[in-house]
Amino acid sequence: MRPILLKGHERPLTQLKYNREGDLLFSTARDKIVNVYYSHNGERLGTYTGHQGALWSVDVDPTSTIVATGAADNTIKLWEIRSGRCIHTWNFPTAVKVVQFNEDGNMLLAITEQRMGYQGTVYVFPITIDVEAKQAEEPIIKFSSPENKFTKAGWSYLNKWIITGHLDGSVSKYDAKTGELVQKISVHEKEVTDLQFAPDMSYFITTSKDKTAKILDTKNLKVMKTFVADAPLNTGAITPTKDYVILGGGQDAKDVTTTGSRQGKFEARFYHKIFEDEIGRLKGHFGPLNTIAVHPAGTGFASGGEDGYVRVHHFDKSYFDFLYDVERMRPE
Amino acid sequence: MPDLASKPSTTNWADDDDDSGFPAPLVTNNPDGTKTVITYRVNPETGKKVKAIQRIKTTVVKERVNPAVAERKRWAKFGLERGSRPGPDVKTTSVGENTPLKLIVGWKESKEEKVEVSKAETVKVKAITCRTCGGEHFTSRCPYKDRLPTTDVAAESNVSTPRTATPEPSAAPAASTGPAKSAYVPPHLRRAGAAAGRGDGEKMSSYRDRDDSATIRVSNIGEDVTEDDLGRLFERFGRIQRLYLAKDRETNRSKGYAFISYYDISSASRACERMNGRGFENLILRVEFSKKA
Repeated sequence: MRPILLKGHERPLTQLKYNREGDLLFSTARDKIVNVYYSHNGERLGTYTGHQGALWSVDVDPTSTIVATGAADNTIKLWEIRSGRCIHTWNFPTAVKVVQFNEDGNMLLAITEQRMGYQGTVYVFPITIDVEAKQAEEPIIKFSSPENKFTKAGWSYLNKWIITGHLDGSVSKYDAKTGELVQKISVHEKEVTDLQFAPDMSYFITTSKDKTAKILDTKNLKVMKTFVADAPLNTGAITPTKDYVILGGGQDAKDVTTTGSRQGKFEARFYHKIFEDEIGRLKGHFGPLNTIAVHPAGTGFASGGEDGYVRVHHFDKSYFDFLYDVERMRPE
Repeated sequence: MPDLASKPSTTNWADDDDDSGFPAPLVTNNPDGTKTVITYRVNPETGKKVKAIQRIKTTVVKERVNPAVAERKRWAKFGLERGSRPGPDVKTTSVGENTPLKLIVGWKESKEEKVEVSKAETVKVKAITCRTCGGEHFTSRCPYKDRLPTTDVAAESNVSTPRTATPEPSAAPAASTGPAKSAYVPPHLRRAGAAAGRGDGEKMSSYRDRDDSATIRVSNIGEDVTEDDLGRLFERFGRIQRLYLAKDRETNRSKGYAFISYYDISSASRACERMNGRGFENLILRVEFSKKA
């Protein structure tokens, strides 16, 4: 497998996102630009410039018309994907950590950081997918969790709930229409670092600094699978077509200079989703992995590291051929 | 699809005049849908006339692409890439080196990494040694600083510093038990501690007086062939004692030759007979008895 290396950023990567068809790959880092690449050959299509601070999050609407970015300059910006033009800006009291469109692309979920006396808050904005339309200034819903900092969030299926991950390792489920807390459970011992849904959104994977990743059922937040790693995890993704999960992490960035890259455990780890076993590792980055995104068709994945590189991988045949003995014996 | 038959000539227009003596290219349609094209030309290197017969099969590969994706591929670049030429730019995009992803049931960290870790640990242990008492602290912080004399005599007694390891043979076994295990030991003293019976250590001569009569040399092996492949291929002629495949030190790929020692000469000669000139992968193997260097 020959990865494609993308060097569009000068600072650690924060998020990668494929669009729905998987032909475009968006990347954000702690520098001030957003890059968009063609995923098949790594050609950079363009950049979105205008943010004044580090970028934390990016998301594309389902029709690949507009892209939303959340940044440490306390803004969310909407951009026209095709031209790189900024079409709207929302201002907040603190940095925006997460932006995410819902399945229909008519709502945008955002999380702001808890800082300077402001509580971490979840916002939901109505969106019109039209680059000329005027976007609403006020959110439909806004709620916060005073005692518990949000780290990650995502939409569940049918826009029913909003699932949030917290600094203390717990996961909560809020009603997306009213903003009421439906359920809250303690999942991890440390901060939840990533929360990504399966393609059908009926379950999701959370990763944590406590060196584990877990798959939870969206309906009742039951922990279904646990994956144990030997390093703090920053990101995890569920692969379509094959029953794997890809986890990324490694030592904290602050400890990296004190150890060799071998011991840093800066590899993408492949686990079997059902059997919870580690089945392989992929080397490449020379810093911890901050973000992993899987191609929606399951043909490849991209990883972004603290080293500022994005590596785009297209899986080769052995990836698709791998089966457990029990899977081979499975009657057709 | 352009019809080859309708074209008058497939040769270059520039040498039309020079090659006028050649018959026109002949195109025949075969019943299986392929075409046979016969052309004549002069080989520029040798100056000889060449008749080229080509069989051409045309297949149409249809790829279905989402219209939205196809449309996006034609978008003009913007932002920092405004005005850039189409295609990946080497400034932002490059192809990394090939990294294998091998999915295995029961994956474990490779030994190599563990060895490296343990080496790092021993280095850490050895890093600080007190010259007075041999403890793990600086000499100046030694609690016995006033009671014991600060000389290298103390250090010499417990052989903790490599400086004291003299080349005398008697010092070597002591060194192998002490913390200076990883210190350099000359080849003639190696394995002295392990094999107490034969204290003479490794001998270079062991290579020379090895019996090579049942050893065959296999050459012209493909680059991707592994020792396992060769083992499978050659074990059918008899039990293999030793298999050595020459590999490049850096790329770890085969250099194209291997030595295989059987337990029995008859197996070796049978392997020579059967496998010499046989095709393996896309190359023709050459198998012969190995010669003494």
